[in-house]
Amino acid sequence: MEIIVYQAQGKVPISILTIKGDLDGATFQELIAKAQEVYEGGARYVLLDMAEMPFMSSAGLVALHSIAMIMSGQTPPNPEDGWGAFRQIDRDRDSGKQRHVKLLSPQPPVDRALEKTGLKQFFEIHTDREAAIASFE
Amino acid sequence: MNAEHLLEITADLNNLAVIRRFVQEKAALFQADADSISDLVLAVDEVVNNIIVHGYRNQGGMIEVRLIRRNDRLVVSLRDQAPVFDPTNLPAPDINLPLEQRPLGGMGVYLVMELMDNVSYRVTEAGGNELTLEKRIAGAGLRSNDMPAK
Repeated sequence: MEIIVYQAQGKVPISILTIKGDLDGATFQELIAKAQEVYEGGARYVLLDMAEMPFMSSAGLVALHSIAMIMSGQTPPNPEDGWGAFRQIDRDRDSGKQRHVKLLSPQPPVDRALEKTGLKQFFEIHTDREAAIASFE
Repeated sequence: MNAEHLLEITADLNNLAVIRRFVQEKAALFQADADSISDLVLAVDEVVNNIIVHGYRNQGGMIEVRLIRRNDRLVVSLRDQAPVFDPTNLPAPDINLPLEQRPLGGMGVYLVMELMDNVSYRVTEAGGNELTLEKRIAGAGLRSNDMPAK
């Protein structure tokens, strides 16, 4: 898996993390680490570009949650906590959707996993990059 | 076609992609539809991930992945020698509850149970684990009367 970081400017500065390859148990911590890195570099809004990410397992769901917490200035739970990580996400949200992390073009199998697990309701999903950038505020 | 496809591989997270590719390629040989293959690949990945991380505790070991077609279903059996554990007995999370009320763990297993048409577990003669996943396929070459109701 490769992660390429781009910067974009909408109403706020946005870091776009383009994920190329599979997000699974072997790679999810790389994504978390990259999000941590951009946060420490000053990023507060992240768009995860999943257009070239053909596969995501439940490990990827833990990564999504961890990134949402990082971007909110919180310490993400230990990935070893697994599902326990998701118990935090509801306590953190105010209006339901995460404000600091959004998803771009998840592939159908990925979207299906998000739907099946009920996680889709917490992440705003876009199919147009410019619209996604403009949506952050 | 009654071919059986077998993969024996080291239990290593870096082998997850190899196993996914194996399932993808062999399922395609049975003319399974893309959605069914996708579901099967994810389910197998979740099971194998759990075997590696929770079964073998990332200490290595062997995993056997066996794939056959049985009538209108693809059947994948996963065997390991990790400590005996039946994942089918785990409580399923209620995704309609607010997240703070959900139990810990089980998202990977939950996906497996949701995506597969049947999941069964047994302890092998050698004292290891065998988890069998079945996925109904809508592949080419199947007549409509080969697809009984679920």
